[in-house]
Amino acid sequence: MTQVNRLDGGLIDRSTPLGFTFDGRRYGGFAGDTLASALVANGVRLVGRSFKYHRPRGIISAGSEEPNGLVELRTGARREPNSRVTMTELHDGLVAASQNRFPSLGFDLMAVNDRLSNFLGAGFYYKTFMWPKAFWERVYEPVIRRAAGLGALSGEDDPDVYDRGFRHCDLLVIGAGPAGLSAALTAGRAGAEVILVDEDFRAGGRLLQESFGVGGVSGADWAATVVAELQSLPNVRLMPRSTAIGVFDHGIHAVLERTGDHIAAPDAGKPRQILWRVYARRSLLCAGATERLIGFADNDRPGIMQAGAVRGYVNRFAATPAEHVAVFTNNDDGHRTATDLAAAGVDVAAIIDSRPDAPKSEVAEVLAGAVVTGTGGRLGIGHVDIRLAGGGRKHVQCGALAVSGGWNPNVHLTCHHRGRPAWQDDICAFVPGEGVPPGMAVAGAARGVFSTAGTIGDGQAQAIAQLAEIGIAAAADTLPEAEDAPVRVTPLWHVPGKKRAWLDQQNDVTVKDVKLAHQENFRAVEHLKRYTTLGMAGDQGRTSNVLGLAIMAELTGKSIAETGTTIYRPPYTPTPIAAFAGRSVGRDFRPTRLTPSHHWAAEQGATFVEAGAWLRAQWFPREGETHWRESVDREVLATRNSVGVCDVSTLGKIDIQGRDAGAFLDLAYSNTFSTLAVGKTRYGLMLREDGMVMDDGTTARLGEMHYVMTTTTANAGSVYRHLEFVRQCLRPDMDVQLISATDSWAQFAVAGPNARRVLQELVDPQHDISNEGFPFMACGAISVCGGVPARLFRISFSGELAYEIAVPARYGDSMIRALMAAGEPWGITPYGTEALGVMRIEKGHVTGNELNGTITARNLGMARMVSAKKDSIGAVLAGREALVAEDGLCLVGLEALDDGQVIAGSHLFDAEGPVDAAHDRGYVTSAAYSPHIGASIGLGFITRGAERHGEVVRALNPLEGRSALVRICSPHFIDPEGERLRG
Amino acid sequence: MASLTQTTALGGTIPFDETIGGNRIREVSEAAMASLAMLKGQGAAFKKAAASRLGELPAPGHAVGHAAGHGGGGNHASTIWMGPDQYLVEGIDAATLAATFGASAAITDQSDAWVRFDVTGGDVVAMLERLSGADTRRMQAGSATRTAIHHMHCVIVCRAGGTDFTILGPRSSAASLHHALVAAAASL
Repeated sequence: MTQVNRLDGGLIDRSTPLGFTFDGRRYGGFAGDTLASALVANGVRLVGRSFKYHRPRGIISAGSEEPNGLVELRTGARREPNSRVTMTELHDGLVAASQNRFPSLGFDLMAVNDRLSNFLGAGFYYKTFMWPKAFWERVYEPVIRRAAGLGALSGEDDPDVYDRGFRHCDLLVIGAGPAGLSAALTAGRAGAEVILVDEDFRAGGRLLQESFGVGGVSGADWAATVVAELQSLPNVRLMPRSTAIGVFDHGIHAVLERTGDHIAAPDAGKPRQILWRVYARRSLLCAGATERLIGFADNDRPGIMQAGAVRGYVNRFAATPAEHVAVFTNNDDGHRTATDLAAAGVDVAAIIDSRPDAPKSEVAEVLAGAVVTGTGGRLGIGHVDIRLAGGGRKHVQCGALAVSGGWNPNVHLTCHHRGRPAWQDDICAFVPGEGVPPGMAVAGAARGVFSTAGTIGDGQAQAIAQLAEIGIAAAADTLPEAEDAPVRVTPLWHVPGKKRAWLDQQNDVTVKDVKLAHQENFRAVEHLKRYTTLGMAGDQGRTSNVLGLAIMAELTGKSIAETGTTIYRPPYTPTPIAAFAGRSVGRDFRPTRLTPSHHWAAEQGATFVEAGAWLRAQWFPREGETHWRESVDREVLATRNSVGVCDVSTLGKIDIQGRDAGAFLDLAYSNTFSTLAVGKTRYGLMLREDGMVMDDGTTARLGEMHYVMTTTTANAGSVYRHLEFVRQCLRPDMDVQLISATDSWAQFAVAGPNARRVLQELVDPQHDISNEGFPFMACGAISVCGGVPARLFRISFSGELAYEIAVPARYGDSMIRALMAAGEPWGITPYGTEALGVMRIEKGHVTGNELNGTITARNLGMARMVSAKKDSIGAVLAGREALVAEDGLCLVGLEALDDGQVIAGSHLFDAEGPVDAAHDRGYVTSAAYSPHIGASIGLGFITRGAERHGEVVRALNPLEGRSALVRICSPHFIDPEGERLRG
Repeated sequence: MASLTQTTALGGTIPFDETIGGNRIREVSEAAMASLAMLKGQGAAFKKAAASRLGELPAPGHAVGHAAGHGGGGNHASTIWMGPDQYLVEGIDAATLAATFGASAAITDQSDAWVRFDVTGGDVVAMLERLSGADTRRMQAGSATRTAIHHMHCVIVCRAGGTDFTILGPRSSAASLHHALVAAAASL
């Protein structure tokens, strides 16, 4: 198909023809076209169907506010629904398809909704889907969801990458129209760090779309000259295809840069889009303005467009929407469209100017004081019905209607801190009001300065003022000559009539809907919005809001200023979720931490589990093992019978030094550490200020003023933060320094009756690690393998004779291999977190499962660990009456009877009696199959637990519909006397 | 008896070194690192010891170079400001520092706590601005800042403005940090 509506001239590159398809049909365009301009040039008026009524719709704008021209772009996994044709740069081979229609755009069965429109007005859902309640989720929601939405997702993973980034500048200029270019030039020449962002791929804004000149050259040429100078300045960064979508605290702006949308597919590794966080000391909003339409009957027919967009297509893209174009306006701007159309050789069928004092035109008949009362045509406009000033009727044939209802400044970003726009009568529009984000100023059309000369001057002046605030002196330059016409507009929001007149074309909101909202008392603007969905479309009401609230103002008899606007929130334009996710997708969702033995464990085929950010070996399956329990049982028994090894580097390690280190620990822990001998380790219990247990672990004293604290893996960060708070805020007088040493050491638990024999193979012979020379709870600096520095701790989580040996992390991989080799004669077995868990349950050691934030030392049977001889954090509140009650929860062991299973999370009830909250006696915190006992066991809390050993109770898990009879026992299933670990 | 061998933070026996586009990313594993924190009331002794071995101490947001001692420092050995009276010393091992500072400072070996990547080249700033909120474009030689890269606590030290930076990150997250750096370099 030839480009029937293509004109001469324009800013397109005719030496680079491009081919594309729309709904399977091939078309041609040129470099410099948008998909919208190429469709206009090819005479394609019908591009989509509306959301609710499936009305045929065409392109109405040439910018990011486009509500109708939404298509599915690209194919396969890269298919992207709801892409605005006006923001889609044409490239060769581009594939686009219309959406929300069945079976085709021209013939859409769902258009039956339009016939039913009397039933589908505002509030339809709220009124219709009320009864019966049982239908809400089962019937109504699926039906509504199926009917809702426009385009469809591909359902496949997005193959592209999205980046995030951070930039800093003195002045962020948002928008590269005349005001923005002028501001950036002024600031750039002054040496300020400037970032200029613009959502278009070519800088110039309206200058590209208008025919008038600036400084003796065309607007586009002036813009190009400014851009060239800006590009030559190292302190200025131009960011085309970049939209400022939000303004946040402290000068932070979110800017979405579309780096790969204008090509078929980004190169491997290159992002499709980058979401920038721009830290700006000052910002200047030069976002321009959006032209309003006017409400009249059937004003949504394809071919009805903003007058400014029509001239944009003619001047910038050399494309006319039709051979015969009529103009409907309430201000002088509409006449410019007529002039430009005529200059391009397009017939202007009529200028319908609602103002009785409309100016004359040299290019077409002006119908002063006339209004459009209706339109006709199949799948596009064919004629307009006009009511003349004297009341007569007129019928004008045309293929397009250019409508201008005045211009609305794009104030949206000024509202992101709850700023409220103010009504300005002389231009009939809202301008930025109070509450503009700190550091932001507004220039040009965005604050109602509409003439070209005005915007260029305002951009310069506002830039100078913004820079002065941060101590940068910028000079005013001579301004280029440009048009300086005043705004002459007489309000016309809608032409009264019986037929539907559209306000929000994307969400199908009509004048009638606003009237219905008024009638049903949804009169406040925020209520109007939610009741009718006015302004809830992708354009955030840029094409509809002011019309809607002006009509509401008419109905309520209030002024528009009193009626006000709804609040605008980020993002300014639709933004893919992928851009927010950035690189945080799939396996890279969060960074991971790897243990020093990770690569070795992976070689062994270990199954890994996430613990905090760590990947820990969960168990090490062996050939022939078909179930994880087989692996875990084997690991447990091998450790208990001979020796096992486990990487425990993930436990938090905090290095504590200073003359007050002991006193500091006495404060942080409920028990005493200042009396701990050098070379010894002690178990410590750390309470929160409210007396609940926060964490536990062992702390070793390596020197007079040097301790190393161990925390649980999950709490390493929070305990460190807590200790820093104590150090910096509670006791800044103490001489103590903290630093994390978690990553510094590769630490391995070597446990089992043969643990010492294995270690003796590696520990350098000058160190005596015999039971006498290195007894239970000893610690010290040693060396291994001929002089490698190491630390040895004789502590046991498993209940066996056990050590933890630490070497600098760089030796970790080598150390696990050395341990495995040294332990081979004793059948050393690596064990993972599951076996670790089984063994600690068997031994009755608590972890995060038990330390759930509601548990006190007394609940754990450790009341004596809260020393009364000293002050410590949490000691006072641990003594609260309810916390020391005799019938409080008490840690117990639980053993399943009759081959039953203890399930963690089950609640405990007496063997007989009702099952309800009032009779809840406690709960199960941990459970495991103990290969040592040969039964399912667990740990839990039950009231008066210490007195109830031997009693049988019920463990009920109603969520899973399971129950078990369990016998209460000591939590120490194994070696309660501790003979093994002291052996 | 077995002998132990060293691996780098990334798990290799030789440090990672790759040039992607205009940027070189090099893992530096040979530099000794130690934390140095002044103990209370020891200001005079601390400053005297610092002057004798480290020279000038860096102000907040800065790193000051010094002569590397035992342990080496790659191309660079600096004292990096980490907090009030707290520093990270590159290129001098903890034992040497302990001998120098005596009881005036808390010193902890941090050689194995960090992974260090030196990134150099003409596009380094473009790469770093995809990773960190720090204003690396304005950083000059001797600027240093704590920052977050993909949720990881990192330190960025500028060795030469615009072209030469060191990134320190948690050793256990070396693979994740490395992935982030390589992806950023490849995305330019």
